[in-house]
Amino acid sequence: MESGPVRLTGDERDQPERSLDELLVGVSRGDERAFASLYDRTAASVFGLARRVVRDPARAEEVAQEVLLQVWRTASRFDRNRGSAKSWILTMTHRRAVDAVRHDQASTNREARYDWTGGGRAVDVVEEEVTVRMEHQQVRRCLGSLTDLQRESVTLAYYGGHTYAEVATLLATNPATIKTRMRDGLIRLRDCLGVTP
Amino acid sequence: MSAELHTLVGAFALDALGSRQRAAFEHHLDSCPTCAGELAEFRATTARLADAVAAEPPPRLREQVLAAAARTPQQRPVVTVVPLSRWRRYSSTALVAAAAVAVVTVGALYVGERNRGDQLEGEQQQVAAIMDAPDRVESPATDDAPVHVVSSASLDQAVVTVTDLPRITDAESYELWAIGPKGAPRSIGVMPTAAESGTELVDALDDAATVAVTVEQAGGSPTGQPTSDPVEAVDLV
Repeated sequence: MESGPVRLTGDERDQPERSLDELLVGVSRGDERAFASLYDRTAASVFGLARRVVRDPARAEEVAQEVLLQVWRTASRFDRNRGSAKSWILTMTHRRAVDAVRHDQASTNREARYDWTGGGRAVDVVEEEVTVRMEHQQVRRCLGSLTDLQRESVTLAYYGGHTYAEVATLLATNPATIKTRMRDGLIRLRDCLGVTP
Repeated sequence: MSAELHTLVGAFALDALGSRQRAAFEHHLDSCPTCAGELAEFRATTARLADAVAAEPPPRLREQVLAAAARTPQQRPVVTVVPLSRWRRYSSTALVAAAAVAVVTVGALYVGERNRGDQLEGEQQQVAAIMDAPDRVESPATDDAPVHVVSSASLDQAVVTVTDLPRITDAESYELWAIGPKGAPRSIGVMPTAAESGTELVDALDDAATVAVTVEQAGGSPTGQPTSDPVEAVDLV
């Protein structure tokens, strides 16, 4: 992952020779300089993902700050046998962003009884934004290699923060089918991207 | 059952399960190395999806995060799940009933930051050592006490078991605090998001006189200090 073509934020001048995994080990020992370097390497991905999922930039900023502080607090629990530092951080980011959306949504529903499934998060909007704003050519190409149902299932869940049951409703498809498409879509994406954990 | 759950690995990797199914799948992961391997690959894959939408945050965020980190205590690698079989050795104590509940519940909920096996084994041994310590001290044991502490001054370690606290949402976590005779409360661990029971191995209680539990946002208080009144507190002897 570290050597891949993906470019994160720019500032690696500080500790250019240290991998993200190594930085995280430093962070776990309270090394604030390592944490600053880790911030510079990951903040754009963390913030970008949070913004994509929660939509509201101010809320996304909150989520990003929470996640990065969580990284600081819990770095000692990172286990590189279970994946890269990057995966660990972005998994936390996505989980927290999704939980924020669902929490906010639950509050909104309680207060206003607003049927959001018919609202502004419709399929075509999400799809369009993802396609237009996709920065990484390989990811775009690989998403394009999926079937429509695979791609919509994966992107509505990952970028849209929807549960598979919601995705099934949005796509008017059997939930069991959506679960399966999420998995085989990820398998195809994994193979296309040549990902190693 | 297993095949049915296995198909959920994609939805789980995308955080597309409801909270109940998420917990069920996390439980399943414990006994499914194939799922865990596939999950690791999927997470590396979704990390690429995240990179593809990277966006520069406002410059102020950097200063905010670094300043907050500088005043936020870090967790030691202490949180773990203690398997029930380990606790049965101490079946004469009231702790066991509490621990059994805690273990079953946490086993189902807590996977996200699980320690790997050899660390787990090491921590089980530490828990056993505290239980066996000649100078071990237990907090006043009533059968239904939601917070139970067993500590050993010579080992400078303690086991904190929390059982059946009031229900909280997916956006909240319980956080444990050590409170000494003077000074601010010190975080000694954050329970997994939405978990209401759990066991923590704490490396140093120091001069703490009280262990308290508060409801915080998921992942713990962002300020490093309690943001609400304790829902439970237990005075150490």
